[in-house]
Amino acid sequence: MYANMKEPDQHISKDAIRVWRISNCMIHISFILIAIILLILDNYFDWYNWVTYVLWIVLTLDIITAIWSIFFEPVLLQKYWRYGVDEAYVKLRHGKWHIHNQVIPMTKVQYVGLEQGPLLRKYNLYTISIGTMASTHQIPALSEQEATSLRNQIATLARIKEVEY
Amino acid sequence: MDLSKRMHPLMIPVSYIKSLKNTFFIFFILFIINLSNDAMWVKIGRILFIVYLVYALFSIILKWWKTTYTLKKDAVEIEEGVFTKKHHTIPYQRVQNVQSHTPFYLRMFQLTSITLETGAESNDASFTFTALAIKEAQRMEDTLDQFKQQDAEKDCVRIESSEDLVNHEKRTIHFNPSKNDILKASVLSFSYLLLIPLLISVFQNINEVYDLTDFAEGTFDFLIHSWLLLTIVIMLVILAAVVFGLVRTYLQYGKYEIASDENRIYIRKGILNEQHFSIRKQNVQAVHIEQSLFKRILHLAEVKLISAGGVDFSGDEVNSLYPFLPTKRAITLIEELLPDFEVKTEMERLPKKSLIVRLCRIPWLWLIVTAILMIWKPEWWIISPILFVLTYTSRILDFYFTRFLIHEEFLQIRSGGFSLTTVITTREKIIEFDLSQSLLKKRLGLATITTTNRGKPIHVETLDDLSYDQAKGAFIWYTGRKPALDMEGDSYGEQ
Repeated sequence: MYANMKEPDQHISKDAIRVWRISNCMIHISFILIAIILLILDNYFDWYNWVTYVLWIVLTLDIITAIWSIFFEPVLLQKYWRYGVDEAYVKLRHGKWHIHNQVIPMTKVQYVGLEQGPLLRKYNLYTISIGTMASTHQIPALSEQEATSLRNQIATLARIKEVEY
Repeated sequence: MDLSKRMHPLMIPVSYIKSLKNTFFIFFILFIINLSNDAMWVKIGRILFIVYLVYALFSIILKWWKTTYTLKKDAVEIEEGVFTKKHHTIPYQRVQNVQSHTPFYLRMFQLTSITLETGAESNDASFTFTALAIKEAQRMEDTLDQFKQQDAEKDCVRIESSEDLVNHEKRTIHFNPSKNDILKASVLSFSYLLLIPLLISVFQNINEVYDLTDFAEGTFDFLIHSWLLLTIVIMLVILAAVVFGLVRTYLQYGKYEIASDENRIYIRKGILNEQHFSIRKQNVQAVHIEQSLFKRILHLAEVKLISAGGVDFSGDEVNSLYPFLPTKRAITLIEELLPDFEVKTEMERLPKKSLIVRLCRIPWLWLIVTAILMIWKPEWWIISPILFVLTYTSRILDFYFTRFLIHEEFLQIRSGGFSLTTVITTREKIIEFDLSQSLLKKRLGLATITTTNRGKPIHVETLDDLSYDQAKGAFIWYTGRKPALDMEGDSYGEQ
């Protein structure tokens, strides 16, 4: 009855996995360190009982999420991220268990930008952010060449004007 | 035309009184509660307060003196600020809607306040002229209208200007509430209930000055002993409440008028405080038809116009067409006012499976409330089963009432359990589209679609648990727009 849905088919860089692993690693290590320091202080100063319980619960939960977000999540995230740009729409698709299919018409794009943090710089990757009147969408971890050409492509297609109404 | 002007001098007392309202409680503490208190802090406080009053007066006079505006050919320029100068320009092209608000005290002096709203996201998005002569406000609106018309005609063939003016004058009135409508409105707005808090606050105020407790108790005892008197008193109170409700509704919705011409929709309301609101038809991003449970029983509906330049006017929803429209009239009214919109009453239902998903969803609110009750207030346990029944009834109702329709350029979604909301928008006005599926939904062949429209705040509409085919259809419909159409949408839709 309907024509097939045209889904985006371009992948993001494989290095994204490593970048996400390192950054998640750093976040979780610092979090766990803080929890451990608090536990030591708790032991030393003899705080309320419930504080100890809460700290232990938080610590275990964080270790579980750390395992998930360091070993599994980056791989899955990279594997299922797709993007595509044609002359009328930017299409994004991500997620395996919770799939998101997003469409942004070119005419509603207000700005495009490239971003690069220290970790991304190490791998020479860029994140593209596409802003509409409602929100900002990001395509993470693209190689420099892909990122700049995509940005230019979107900017031309969206015909970013000096006066926005 | 290019002369720069100040607002009407009456802006000074108006803004002054407004700023005093905010400090009233300080006045109350210093001069009324501590009337005979000689403590040091009271004295200092009073002096500071008086200094503040004088300062506020002078700063408002200065503000009035230093704020000037100029109606230029294509923009209003506003200069303000005493020490730091601020200069802003509002191009007519960016003005989304115009609101004017005329409280009775301004009307006595032939004045009004007018707000120009733009679609921008910052604080400068709108500018309010606190007090302007009505004629001056009219001139401003006319300038705006003329500009818009010229602008619209730039691309088209030029029509003779005399004809423009005729067109401009041609306003059709679409709706004036009848007596019957006001009666229904007064029943539904529950304004008669407001008499009770009003009476209580009057009583408390008097009680603070004269001790009425004994008197009240005496009267109460006297009344309770005579059934006849008690009934009479109750009847009187009910009568008073009804009259109060009618008067209040009449003042609010009595002189209501919905009119339109070729480009704009005009809403006027209020008897003591008159409010005008005008919006360009092209700027309407979506239409909402809202029906609460009671409104559904009486076959009434509220129609709201979602636009990009909505400013909240002291909490009043001015974007609402008359809130108590007869349902059938509401639908014809939308089509009369907005020829670009079409309302269909036949819509698609959700698949049966989605009822299962809805029933399986974890009732978080109920769980949390029950947990809180069990820990702190076990004697109120009755709330828990009531909430449980309400949650599930509303889910089942929501399944039965939710409808979905894609029809040419329109997307129409109706949702809600006890109170229904129908959202109608066009493909061109949707700025983002999202189709998502969780693992469970994928198994069952269901999906969720989310659309985003411009508005203030941004308007996001989510429809859960469609069949995957329906959602896919919507996705294809949305992405099927031709780029050629886009260009058109670009120049019209975003102004």
